[in-house]
Amino acid sequence: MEHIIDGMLLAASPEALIAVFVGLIAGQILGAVPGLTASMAVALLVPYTYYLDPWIGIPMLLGMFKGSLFGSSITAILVKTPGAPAAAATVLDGYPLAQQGKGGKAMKMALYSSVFGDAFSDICLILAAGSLAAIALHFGPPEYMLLTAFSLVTLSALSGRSLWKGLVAVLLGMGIGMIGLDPIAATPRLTFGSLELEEGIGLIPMLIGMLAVSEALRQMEQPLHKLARQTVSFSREWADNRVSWPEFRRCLPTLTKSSGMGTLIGAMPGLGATVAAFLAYGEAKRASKHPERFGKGEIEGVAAAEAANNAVSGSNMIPLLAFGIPGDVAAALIMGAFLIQGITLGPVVFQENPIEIYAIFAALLIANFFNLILGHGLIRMARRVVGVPKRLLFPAVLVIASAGAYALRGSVFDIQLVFLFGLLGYGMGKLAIPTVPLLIGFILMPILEENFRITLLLASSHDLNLGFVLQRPAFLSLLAIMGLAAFLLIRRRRAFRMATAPEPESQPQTKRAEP
Amino acid sequence: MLATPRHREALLLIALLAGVAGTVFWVVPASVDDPEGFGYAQGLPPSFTVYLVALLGGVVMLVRLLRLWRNPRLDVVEVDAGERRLGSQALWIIVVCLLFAFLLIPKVGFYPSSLLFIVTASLILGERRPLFLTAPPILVTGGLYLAFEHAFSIFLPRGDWVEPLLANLGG
Repeated sequence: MEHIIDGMLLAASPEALIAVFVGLIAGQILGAVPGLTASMAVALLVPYTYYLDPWIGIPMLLGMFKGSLFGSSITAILVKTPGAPAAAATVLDGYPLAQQGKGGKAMKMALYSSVFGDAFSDICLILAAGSLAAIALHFGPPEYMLLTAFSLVTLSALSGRSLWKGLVAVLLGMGIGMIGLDPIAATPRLTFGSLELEEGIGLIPMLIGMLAVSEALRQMEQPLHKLARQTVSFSREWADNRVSWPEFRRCLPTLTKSSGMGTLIGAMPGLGATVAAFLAYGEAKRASKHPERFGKGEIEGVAAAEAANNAVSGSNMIPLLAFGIPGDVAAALIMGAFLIQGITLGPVVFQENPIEIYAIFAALLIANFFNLILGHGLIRMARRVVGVPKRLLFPAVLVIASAGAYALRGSVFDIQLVFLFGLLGYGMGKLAIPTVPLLIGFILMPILEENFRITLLLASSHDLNLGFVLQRPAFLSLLAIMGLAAFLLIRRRRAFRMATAPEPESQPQTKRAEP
Repeated sequence: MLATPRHREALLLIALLAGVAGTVFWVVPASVDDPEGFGYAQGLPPSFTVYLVALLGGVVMLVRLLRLWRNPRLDVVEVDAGERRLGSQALWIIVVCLLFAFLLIPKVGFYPSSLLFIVTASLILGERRPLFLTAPPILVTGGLYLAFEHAFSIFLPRGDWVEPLLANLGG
């Protein structure tokens, strides 16, 4: 108890509060720049933490991480350019809302959901780090394989009105995800001898290209007089620029479920905020009474994606603190910052450095509160920026996105990929082939394939062969949960089809694809 | 021949199936070398999943093509005719984007290319006011320079033609 109070007092010191504040502001602004991910933002700041005490330096890093997760949603909503991959799912409903003049509502819901998800996972981290870490330890390649395979199937619900086009897009994304070195044999695959391709296709160039560049190309087709107008206009209605309490209350079940999903996924090394966001979005759509509204500006869609991706920030620390295992790049960088301070993470950290750890916990909660306040300022700033005419803003966005794409690997090839994928996304739009399933296939394929093949490797040395997975309690539990989810989904779809079955018509129908 | 949505979708499916065939019979053999003795017990050869994904894609497309052929009333999803067309404005923007990424940046460097790109793209999109053709490109490029070079220490490409000049000036 004494350590907890000492830790809280350290976190409440002026230096610690200023550090969190600075980290959040920098994170929110950097997060809004396409291509500069949370991990990159943290990487830029790690060296500076050497000169600071751990209860100042580490919270600053964590503030940067949290701030960038929210900041990336602003550009995702306003100009369909996610600042980081984690915000890609926010585009699905955030951008349509902005197009309807409700960008203010979307950004505020993104902010409240971010803070909710963050706070949820921070509380889980503080209260249940050990238990969650123990659950995460039971997840191995078979469970990861099952989770990602199921995600691919359920997220095909995002394929829109043409199922075959959605499936083709997913499979194309999976194919693109296989370019690079084979995960088991480490031999080049689909690279045609190109050294750049051996590193694989970067997620950021692909995301920026498929979402931002293709949308910019589509927008730039408009007549010249429309391009002179401001990029995003905001409705003058007060209700369109705020999230009312009834709206927030309606989204509470989604927020809670998505935060839970994000917390669990964040606790499992290797999956990350992007996977959490898409999974939560898919689940919110599946469970919604009006799934047909998703993708057209449904505020619950924004809530689900943002709550889940921000919930990862706290639970990312669970395997890190409990076992010294970083779950992703950002956690690895934060671990580096701990090592710089002479703190070795793992089971004994609570005995050896209790005050610093509790100070960091308290700082996490304080950062959520600051994020809420600073977020409103960023929203106001963003509203001014997108008041610029489209014909000026879109070229600028393309240049900034190119710089961001270059920053991660220092490769001009990544800039070229941005525009190539932009053309691909643009072409797919012309053919009414949805682009989001391609992104999902690309993101999930490497995880699915690696874990599938490792499972086969494990099976080959087991007496029961592949049957060994049925001896794993975590696998069986996941299978049961997924079976139930699939049953509910099929039942709902049947009920929806029966309720909306049209009258027989003599002429075939042509459906118009949503842009 | 392409007058109806069904015809257009059928053509798209045939083109995509040709792509799948090309992948299976040319792309994979040309670009994936399976190590010897790499079978099921070794976690499957590298080409396995590529073939599997291509095969699944082929099956999806074939099923759709068959359904299209057998059911004249099948729903077809496509965008409006106006949106399908590629206008000259969009074409010019695409050309400028490709020149920016593939020619200008590698040769001239990021900053001069960005200035040129923003000015050219804004002109194509109808901007004619001299102030708005000069100030935004300078602000954006200058802001990127300060942020990336000085704040983040990320050095954006200098360009093959410019880098030797800068090296001589520095030396």
